Amino acid sequence: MQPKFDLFPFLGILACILGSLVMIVMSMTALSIGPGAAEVWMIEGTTDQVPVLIEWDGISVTIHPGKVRVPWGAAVENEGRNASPFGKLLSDIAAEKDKRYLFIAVRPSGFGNFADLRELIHKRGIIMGYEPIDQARPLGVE
Amino acid sequence: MMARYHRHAGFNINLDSLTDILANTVGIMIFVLIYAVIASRGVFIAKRLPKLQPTTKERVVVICTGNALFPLKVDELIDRYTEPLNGLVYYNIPQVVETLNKRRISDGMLEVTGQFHCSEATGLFSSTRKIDSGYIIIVPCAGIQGDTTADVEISGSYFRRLLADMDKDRQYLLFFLSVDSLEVFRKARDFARQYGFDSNWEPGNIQWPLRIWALGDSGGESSGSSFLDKIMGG
Repeated sequence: MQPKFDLFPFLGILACILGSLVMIVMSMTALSIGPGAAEVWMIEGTTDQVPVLIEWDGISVTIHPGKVRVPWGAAVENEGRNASPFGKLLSDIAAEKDKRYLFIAVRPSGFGNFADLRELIHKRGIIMGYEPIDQARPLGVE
Repeated sequence: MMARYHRHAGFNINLDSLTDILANTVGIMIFVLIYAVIASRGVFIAKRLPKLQPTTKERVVVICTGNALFPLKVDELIDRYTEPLNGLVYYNIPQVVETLNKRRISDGMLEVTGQFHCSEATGLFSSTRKIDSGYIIIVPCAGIQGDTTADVEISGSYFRRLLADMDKDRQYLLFFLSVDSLEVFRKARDFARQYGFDSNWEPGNIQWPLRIWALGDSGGESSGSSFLDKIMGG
């Protein structure tokens, strides 16, 4: 007499695992493309100048990729010629204008006083670009 | 004998194939899960991070507010509205002010009106007349909602008509962007870029009615700035 295997319990377990995996993958996908997901900017193409990314939210400047946050009060001191990380960054870029430029990701909360930051950078003769970004979306750079 | 055979055979199915399929699917899903875990750091977006470039091109203004686009021929509208000022002399100041206050200019999308005030002081030997203040007020025409994100690609939309009228070698788009209009701005800019139009944007909090200080004491605003600068300042 041949041994008899009943595959139904095994099939049940497999179907449950499959369902669970589908749910996990869909949840992760939803989270990774949803409103809480980080937006990671990869700099496209090659240019003669390398952008340095900073983030402006109206009350502080965040320097990427280290995400060093500098309050606006400290950043603007002495027209940006100060010892804060932002002041040092401006000095570094001003010394290498041919090789680097500043790129600013502007949060909607920073729209109102963005002109102040822009004027500060402009006075140092630094080349810049800027782009709006959603208020809550985390930002990274590769 | 035949009856016995049928009873024992019953409804017999082979589950091997189904088991194979399920096992393979589970294996594939495990690989997908591993990939999803690795990729879940965020959405990777290849970005061109453009620098501001000096240009001799003429700007064409597009207001982005309420998540809708309003192409604004600001210079043309204001020039048309302020035509009566060209004939302004000392003696006709009150008449010109009255004309301006009654004046209503429209380009089919936006309507321009104004609020001007003048004063007259009479002394013993002389009298003075002057325009004390003047606002130009811009609002969308009745029933005009502007172009939504969906409208951007529809031929016949205000934005598409604007692009059709533009000369990309001579003009560029300048978007005035309110905080509530990032989506429509991105859509419009990407669309314009596909067709070779240069663009820039300026942050602002623009709401209707758009009031532009035109004459008189500006209450602290710098004199000599353009109408556009005043919009930005507002």
